[in-house]
Amino acid sequence: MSVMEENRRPLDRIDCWLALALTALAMFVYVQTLTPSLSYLSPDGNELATIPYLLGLAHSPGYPVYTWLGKLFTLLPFGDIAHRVNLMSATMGALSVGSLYLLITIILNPRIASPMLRRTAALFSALLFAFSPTFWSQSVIAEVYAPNIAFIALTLLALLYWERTRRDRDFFLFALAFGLSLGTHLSNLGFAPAFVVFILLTDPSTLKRPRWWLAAIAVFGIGILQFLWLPIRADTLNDRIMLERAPVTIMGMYRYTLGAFSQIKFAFPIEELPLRLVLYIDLIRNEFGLSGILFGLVGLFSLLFRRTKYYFLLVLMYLVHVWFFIQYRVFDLEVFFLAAHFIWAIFIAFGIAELLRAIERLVKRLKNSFSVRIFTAALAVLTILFSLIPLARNWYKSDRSDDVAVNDFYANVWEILPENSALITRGGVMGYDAFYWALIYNTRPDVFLPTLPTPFPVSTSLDGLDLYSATPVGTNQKAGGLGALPPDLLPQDLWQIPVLIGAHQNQPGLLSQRGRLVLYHLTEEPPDLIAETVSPSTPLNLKLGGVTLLGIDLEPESVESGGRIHLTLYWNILKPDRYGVELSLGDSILEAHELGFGNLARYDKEVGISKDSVIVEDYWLVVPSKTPAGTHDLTLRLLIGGEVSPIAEILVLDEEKDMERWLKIAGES
Amino acid sequence: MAKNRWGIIIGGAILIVMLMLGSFSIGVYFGRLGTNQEAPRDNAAAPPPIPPQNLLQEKVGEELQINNPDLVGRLRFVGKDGIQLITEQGNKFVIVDEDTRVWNWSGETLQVRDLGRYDILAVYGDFIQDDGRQLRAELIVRLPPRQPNNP
Repeated sequence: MSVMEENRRPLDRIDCWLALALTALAMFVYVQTLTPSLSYLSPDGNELATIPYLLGLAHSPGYPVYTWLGKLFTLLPFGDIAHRVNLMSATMGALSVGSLYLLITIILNPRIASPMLRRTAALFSALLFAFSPTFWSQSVIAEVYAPNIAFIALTLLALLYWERTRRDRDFFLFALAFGLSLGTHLSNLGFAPAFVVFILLTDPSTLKRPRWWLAAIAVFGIGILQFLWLPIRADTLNDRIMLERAPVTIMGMYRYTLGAFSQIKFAFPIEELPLRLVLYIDLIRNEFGLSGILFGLVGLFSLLFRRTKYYFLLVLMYLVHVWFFIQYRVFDLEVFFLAAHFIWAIFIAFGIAELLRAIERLVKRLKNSFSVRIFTAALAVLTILFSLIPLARNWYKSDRSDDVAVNDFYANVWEILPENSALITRGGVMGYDAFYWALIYNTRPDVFLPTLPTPFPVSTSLDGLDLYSATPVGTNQKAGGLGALPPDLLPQDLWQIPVLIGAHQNQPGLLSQRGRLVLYHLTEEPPDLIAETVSPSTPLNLKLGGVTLLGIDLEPESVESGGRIHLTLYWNILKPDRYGVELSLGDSILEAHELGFGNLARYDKEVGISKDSVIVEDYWLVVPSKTPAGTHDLTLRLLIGGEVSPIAEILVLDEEKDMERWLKIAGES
Repeated sequence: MAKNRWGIIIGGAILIVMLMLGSFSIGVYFGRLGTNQEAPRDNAAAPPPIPPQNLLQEKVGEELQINNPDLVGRLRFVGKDGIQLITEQGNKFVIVDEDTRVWNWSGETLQVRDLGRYDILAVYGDFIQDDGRQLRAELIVRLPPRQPNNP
């Protein structure tokens, strides 16, 4: 069989079935570990969960294809809208895994390995990539990265399909897929030089066909016409920074797309680049382990000598991507390298194929065909089992199925806010944890969200309204911060009294600044922080270091999971100081706060606290909807290092499904 | 065949440059940061609880919420305009500028240069710019080393 014929061989039916099986396995795992609804795992995930339903305009560079595809998923008949968009990531992530398998089996030459070993290498790499921590994490939340990898895979498959058929229409299909892929991540544009080199290596005669190239560019242009969506939907923007570069002019469109994020691109001086490169190498190690780096390197050599044309395609794609993103200054850098990891997984497959081939040669010396077959089959099974290790190792870290804190918190917020109140939230992209409910479900239309229509609300719009806030305001607000409120929106001396606290996520390293789920009541009058005499329903007299917990009031004593308990703590401070209090239900930390919620010093100054005064903390506490039914100890300890003291027992019921409860509160029957 | 030979030569040159750059970078990394440090363990990113230091609580102030650092991890290296931390969520880059304060866990003021590789740090800061993907450190607190009985 000539090389040309090998390249043109059709995909085996077995390969198609295996790709399908891989897709199904990945889909099953992603759905099992899927974030149920909203989440803070990604800084803009809640915006990306909301925008597709509204067919609005996402933050730069707009992601039109992501938005339209997401809209299709929002039409699914189950779950809430955020859940359906999360499912899009799972679906596209799973499709990427199946596509990766197909890509590897297409590129792996039959001369390099027998069908069984070829499939083994492809399965190994596809599984390794599927359950690598970063790709997995992006396949279970509303984000652009899993759909983007699926589009990159689709583009590559289309290119390789044209390589086999050499039909113009197949080439134009590739050009269209490439153009469309920019709607899931604009960085894909960097793959263009690699594609051009591959096309020229495949068919140099195309150089003599300028019309063919022009037609291909025109089809690619049809793909990028999607960006006309930007000016059409620019009126839906409500983020301060996005509005500053609103895509309503040609220059605005440039600044919203290619010109966006200029301060974080190529952000490092040349002497820092070696460290950035080491950081990237460490990221590959995080994804695939040291052995993954080693097999990838072996695979690079294998590709170079055995499949030179594909080597140029993949290595050029890879180098452009890595070169660009090692100079990208962002907090969550790892997600930006997913395309490079995807390509590295192909290198790994070639490395594994070389290893298996070497072992196969050794085994063939046995000269007993039955033994050879048994040994080869055992080797294949062993290799595939080995590739499942990341599935077990990363499951705990990647499982987001209990990430319910945002929904639990806001479901309770909507229930307790009084009529005709105002809820102040962060603005723009950062405000979608609250905007989601109003924009999609029209939840509590009587509650005014001043930062929803505009990032520049004026103070007069709040006149006469009872003020609540889901973000610290006043002097605690960082003026230049993302989603910050206008400095003159609220008086600086308002009291901020927590009335509802959501479950502490207890996950340092998440964008945990956004993980503080507290609803504050904003008042000009000081809170009822002090009582002279109290008679708690449960007297305790617990001496905890420099304070005494005199007792508590708790109601109700049984609560539906996802609901809330009303807690009143009565304290006597023996030794003036600042104390931290942590409350847990069973083994789960519910919340931690400073005694007096940071109001004690001001209260003492303005109102006065005597030595015998009783400090009263009165608030609602959310019981996470993933709390198992049954009786749980509510425990308290002083931070830090204090002993855990049980203060009550709470019966948690689980009579209603989380999603049903959220949808009911959202207002959808 | 001749075409393929040229392809292999050019491709090989690219590969050699890639390997050289990688090796050079690793050399620079160890040259700058040394090799005599404790290697990060698998659980190295798991932070200990923040210690019970009232002085620290006093200094951190209510707005930063002592129990809610924005990031906790081990210091990987100090760069020109920031630090790299190894966290449970992977390596994270944190911008450090002239306004960034650095304290020991007991509340003493430190300089960024006092921080050692694999020190456990709690970062309090502000997510800035565009889509919130950059953390600018307002305060960095060096936490005490993990104790065997400290979960």
